Amino acid sequence: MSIERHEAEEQLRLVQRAQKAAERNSIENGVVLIIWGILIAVGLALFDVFSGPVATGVWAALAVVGTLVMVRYASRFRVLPRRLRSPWIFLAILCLYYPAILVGGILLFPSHPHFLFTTIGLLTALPLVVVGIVQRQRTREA
Amino acid sequence: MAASKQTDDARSEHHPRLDLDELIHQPVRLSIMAILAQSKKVDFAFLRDYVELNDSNLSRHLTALEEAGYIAIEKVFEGKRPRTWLSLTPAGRTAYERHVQTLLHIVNAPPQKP
Repeated sequence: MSIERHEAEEQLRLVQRAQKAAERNSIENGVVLIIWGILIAVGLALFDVFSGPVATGVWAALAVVGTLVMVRYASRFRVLPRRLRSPWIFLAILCLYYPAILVGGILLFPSHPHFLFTTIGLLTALPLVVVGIVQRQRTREA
Repeated sequence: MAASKQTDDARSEHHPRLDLDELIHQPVRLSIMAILAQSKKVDFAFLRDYVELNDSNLSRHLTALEEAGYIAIEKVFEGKRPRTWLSLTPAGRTAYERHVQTLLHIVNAPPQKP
């Protein structure tokens, strides 16, 4: 029985390694969320550095380039996940959180103090980056 | 009478290893099934790289699984490039889940006295 148990444990380890490899090579590997988070933080910080129209232009260009790179990156995955592990409720809350924190920040601080947009960007990026890091940790080889 | 009861018990409580699916038990095929179970579909090249087999050896394993009705193989062209996608069938998922359950059963079973 001890040998059989040992074999079964070995097989379960094999299963776990294979599942992690599948996640690592799918869109669920956390990279997309981390890069989006960084892009949002950098993009909003631009509004503290440049004047409004310039920052808007740079931000728009950054968003377009980021989207194109992400689409290309996602299309190269060789494993299509069965279902997205990031629950839809997380994405829905994020969609509300982003405009809420942006509009809230601007309304609460109409004088636009230094680093307002950097702070908004960091707060907005935080959930994305945290979930991305958690995904990366989960898919790491034991 | 007691001997007969023991035989009956032995028959009704057969060892869980007898529930293992021999086709899936082989390590390469188990890895393939585990990856497919996690995914909607998987590229042939990824599986080949992961299990470190050449195309022909991997194809042999895939054919065995396909003949058992456990996986589906879809050959498509993406642009001008041929691509082979693999996915688990419902029967394959059931067989895989039963196999993993049996493994867990063996691992979690109390050790037998000598």
